[in-house]
Amino acid sequence: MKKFVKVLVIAMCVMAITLTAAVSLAACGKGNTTVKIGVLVADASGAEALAFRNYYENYVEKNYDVDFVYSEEVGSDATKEMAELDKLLAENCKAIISFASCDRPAQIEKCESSKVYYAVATGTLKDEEYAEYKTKEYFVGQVGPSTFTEYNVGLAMGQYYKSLTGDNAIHSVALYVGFPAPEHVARTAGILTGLGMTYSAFGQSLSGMDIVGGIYGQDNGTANLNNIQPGDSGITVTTVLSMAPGAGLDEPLQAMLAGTAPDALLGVGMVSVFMAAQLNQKQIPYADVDAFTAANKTNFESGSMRYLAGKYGSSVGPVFALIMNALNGNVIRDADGNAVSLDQGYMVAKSAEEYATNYAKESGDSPIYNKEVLDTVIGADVTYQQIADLVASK
Amino acid sequence: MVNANSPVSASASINKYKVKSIAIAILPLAALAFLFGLFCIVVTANDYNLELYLTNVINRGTVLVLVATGAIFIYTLGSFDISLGASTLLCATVGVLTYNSTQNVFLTVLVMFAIGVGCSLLSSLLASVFRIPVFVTTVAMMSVLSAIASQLIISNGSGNGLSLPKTVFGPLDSPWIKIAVIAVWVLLCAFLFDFTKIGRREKFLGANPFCAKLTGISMYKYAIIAFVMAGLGVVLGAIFTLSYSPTVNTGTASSIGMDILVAIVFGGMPISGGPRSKIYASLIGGFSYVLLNLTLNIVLRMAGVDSQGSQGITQIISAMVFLAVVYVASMNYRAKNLPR
Repeated sequence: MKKFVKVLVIAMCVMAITLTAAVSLAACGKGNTTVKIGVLVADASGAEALAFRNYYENYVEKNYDVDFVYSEEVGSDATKEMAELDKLLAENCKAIISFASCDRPAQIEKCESSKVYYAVATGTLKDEEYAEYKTKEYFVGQVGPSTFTEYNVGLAMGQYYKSLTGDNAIHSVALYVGFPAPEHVARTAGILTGLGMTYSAFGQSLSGMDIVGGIYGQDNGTANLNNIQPGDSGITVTTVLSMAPGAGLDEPLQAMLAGTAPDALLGVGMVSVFMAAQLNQKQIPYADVDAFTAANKTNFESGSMRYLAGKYGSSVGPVFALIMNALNGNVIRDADGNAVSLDQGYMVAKSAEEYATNYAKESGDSPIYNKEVLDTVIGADVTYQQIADLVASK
Repeated sequence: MVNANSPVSASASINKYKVKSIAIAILPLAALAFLFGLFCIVVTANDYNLELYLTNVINRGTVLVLVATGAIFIYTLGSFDISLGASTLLCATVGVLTYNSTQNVFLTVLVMFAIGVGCSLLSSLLASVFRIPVFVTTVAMMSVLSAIASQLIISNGSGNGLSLPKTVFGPLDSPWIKIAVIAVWVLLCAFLFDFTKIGRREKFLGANPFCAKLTGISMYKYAIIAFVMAGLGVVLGAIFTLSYSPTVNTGTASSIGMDILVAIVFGGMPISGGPRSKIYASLIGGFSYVLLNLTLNIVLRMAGVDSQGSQGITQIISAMVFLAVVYVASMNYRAKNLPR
């Protein structure tokens, strides 16, 4: 037996080495000239992340002479983020598209010193960070929802639920407030405002965007149920679920599911990942800020999802256009000579029919930002205004 | 015909044992050399930038090796500390907060030393006072330290973590400085471990705590020394974490605790501690682990596996290698001769 194990271990090692050598030698002969673009990702399994990846790898790669090299998932670890960025640079990526936000200034500085073009594809830099880096030679720009847009997404969701009447009227809601991340806090503030509610912090009753400061300043980035003050709409918040470190999602979720169900659960992102199955099973209506994906189509059609403010896979098309232009020598700048900074909104679906219509625009071989559309903003003469107009039109 | 009990047979048996021992002793170093060669082949075959990739290896390995080298003093006692990642996170977090409030680098480093060593001492004191096995207290400490660090980051940051200016520890972010610091730290620990009574007594305690106690060696005194050394490793790890990336997030250094365990086993140290413990196991094992992961990641992607798939498969293969290494190493322990 001992001899057998020894032989097995040696055989496995020999096999591994042979395979490694064979694959390496096979790669040697390729020598292709395709431009490599590194994609730095914080999350690799969420619906939104998968939709973006599907667009880049299964649509853009087929239509342009580019190769997207994905990093490992870096999560919330700035050190791993930097190590993965270094790895992409070592693999000769000529540009980086970043979906990771642990330390964006460090990413920009690293790309600047490596003379590699860099663009932000999700969220935006803080105002002071953008002011500092907007003139950097290799910082191409950012295309994504600003904090104000994130607030408005939540606001629209809250207002919609507040406006429901008759049999559809809601009286109680559960909130899923996600992580203590800026976009989640802004969406939470929007939802509360949209529902006509205020937030108690520092002895004051805060409303609108001020709620963001209250949640951060007083409650470490996670809305506290006790500080949510109902307005005159008659709607009350019964539960606040979160993914804040140490909060634990499972126990309060199970308690909510075991008790009297709320009329709706309003989420700020990734409800489909963390609790869609349970909500669908219990037929608790829910809303989320996520992406137009096949999984959410199912949630709408046969589950209990009733509202979605979502990005779509090809919404990362404009940032690819910026990078392609830069790689081709046309580094686009705004009127003041600064890196591009464009606000990008969400598509909203409030019914399965609306979802199907929006989803159809994006699916198949012709996404919203298809080759025909992208080609209008990729070229030597493309200007800032053309890109800005295109993003505003979608 | 030679009699089994004859002196010739006994000598042959001893020689065979020595050869086997030497072979197993140099196996980790040979494995590191092999992995390094394989890594260079794979990187150059793909036309990747070998210099940048090697720098990446050093960046990934530095914190692991620094913390693991200090941790070997704990592992030698036959115990282990799973809270070292959380200690590194807390140490770095408090360092950032201290600098941001005082702009004093000296004070920042001083506070980091106090936190790093203090956390380690707390673990060992809890174990001493309550007579709880050390690894149990470190499991509890891991949760406590992570929670404190997360709370500090969330309550003082802006949602994306806490940062300090790159100029503070940034000048240390050079491969040559990292190599020099690793060399000095490993040599210092090797001196304490192999040429002073601290190392000898720790190995004795790891091999047979009852016998060691009967000879008058205090378990708790040497446990405290071991934790102080681990604490110093944590401080160095935290400083070099901040030199590479000046931002701490809740996920910073989260995998260090388990990576140390794997690294020192890869380096040829028995997880049971004792006289076969080797201080250089962290150095060899740490870099072997990094090289193995990066090589597998590249090869799997070359074979068409996407980055997430390759991450998963790499973990599985690393686990298999871990088991194989433990098996091969244990073949030597099963010899009838006592450790020498």
